[in-house]
Amino acid sequence: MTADSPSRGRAEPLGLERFAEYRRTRSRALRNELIESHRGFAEYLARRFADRGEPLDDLRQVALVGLLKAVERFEPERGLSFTTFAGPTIIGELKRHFRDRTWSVRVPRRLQELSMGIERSRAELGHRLGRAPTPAEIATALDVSEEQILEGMEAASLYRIGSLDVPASDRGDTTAGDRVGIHDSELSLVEDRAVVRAVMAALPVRERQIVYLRFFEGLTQAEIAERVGVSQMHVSRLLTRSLEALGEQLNRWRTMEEA
Amino acid sequence: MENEDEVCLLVPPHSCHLRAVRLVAAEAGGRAGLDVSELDDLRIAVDELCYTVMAATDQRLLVRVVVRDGRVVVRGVGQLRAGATAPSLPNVSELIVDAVSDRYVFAQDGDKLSFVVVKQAGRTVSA
Repeated sequence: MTADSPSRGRAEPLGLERFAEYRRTRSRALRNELIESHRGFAEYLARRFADRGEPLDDLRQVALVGLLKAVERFEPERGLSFTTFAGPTIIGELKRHFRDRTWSVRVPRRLQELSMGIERSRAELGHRLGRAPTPAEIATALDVSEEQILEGMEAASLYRIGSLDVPASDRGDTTAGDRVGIHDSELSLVEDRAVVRAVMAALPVRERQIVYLRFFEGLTQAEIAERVGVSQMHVSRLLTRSLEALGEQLNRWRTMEEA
Repeated sequence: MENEDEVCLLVPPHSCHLRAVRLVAAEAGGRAGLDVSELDDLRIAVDELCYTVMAATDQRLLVRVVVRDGRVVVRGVGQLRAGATAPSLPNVSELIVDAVSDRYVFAQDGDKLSFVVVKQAGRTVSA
């Protein structure tokens, strides 16, 4: 056996004649050179899968393994360029990596594939039947037993149960949890304000103005009386009447919403 | 024998025998519950490490394979050729073994060159 010398650093992609030489000699040193010279291509493909929840370093490793397999299998005499051949091989590895990684617990490949088949069949049959298909219908479509469908559906429930603490991007500055929505109380206030604005529109102009000054501007009854030019007692009566009218309007809105 | 389930191979230092090592490792991987992708990974790792040891010796390598708790451990050791300097794992091989194994060690101890590689079943699908 001839000891190969390791190659270092990255070089320009090597030509088809070097692949042909590798096919003949199976020299590890040459294989390593071929891998090194195409690592940029593998890196490019790995980056295409970045920001999907997997660390870029892991994707680089997966792409490298894909590149290794491509170098081993490439037959230059077929006339294809190496990248044309290697692209699908590397992408296939990356896709397989994602497929495997998106299962949160170990699920046999048979069940993973079955549950994917169920999902496909569910969508197709749902479209065709105009309703959700029964397990029996899916079983018939996939030519498996109903029991297997139930097993596959159970497996599907294990798909993508991830931690909220995992980084959501390769930069690691956000977690999956950061991207999950929370109940926003301000959002319901926006809704309430819209309803109040609508029911206030039904009030006479002066009453609407008094309600606005009291509850939106925060003026006291005395300040409103001075601003509007009526007695404080009258402001108090107008406010009471306006609030009763608003209450009735709001009740009508609620009734309409519940219906 | 240290472990009654351990499989031992004495492998001549020629690359044509790598296939035998890969086959034995893959058979052990099957017993450990590795899926086909994990078996591929194990075969690649064993191939890289064995090859590097073979390149530095003119004597047979001792390769030991053991399965325990859903994990395959492959150990290899070879005696350095007289006067030879111990090779380091080539850069690409290092990257590859790192990518496909759960853990590995490649080391020199006196005139012995050895490696240990571990592949665990289910690692590719755990979150």
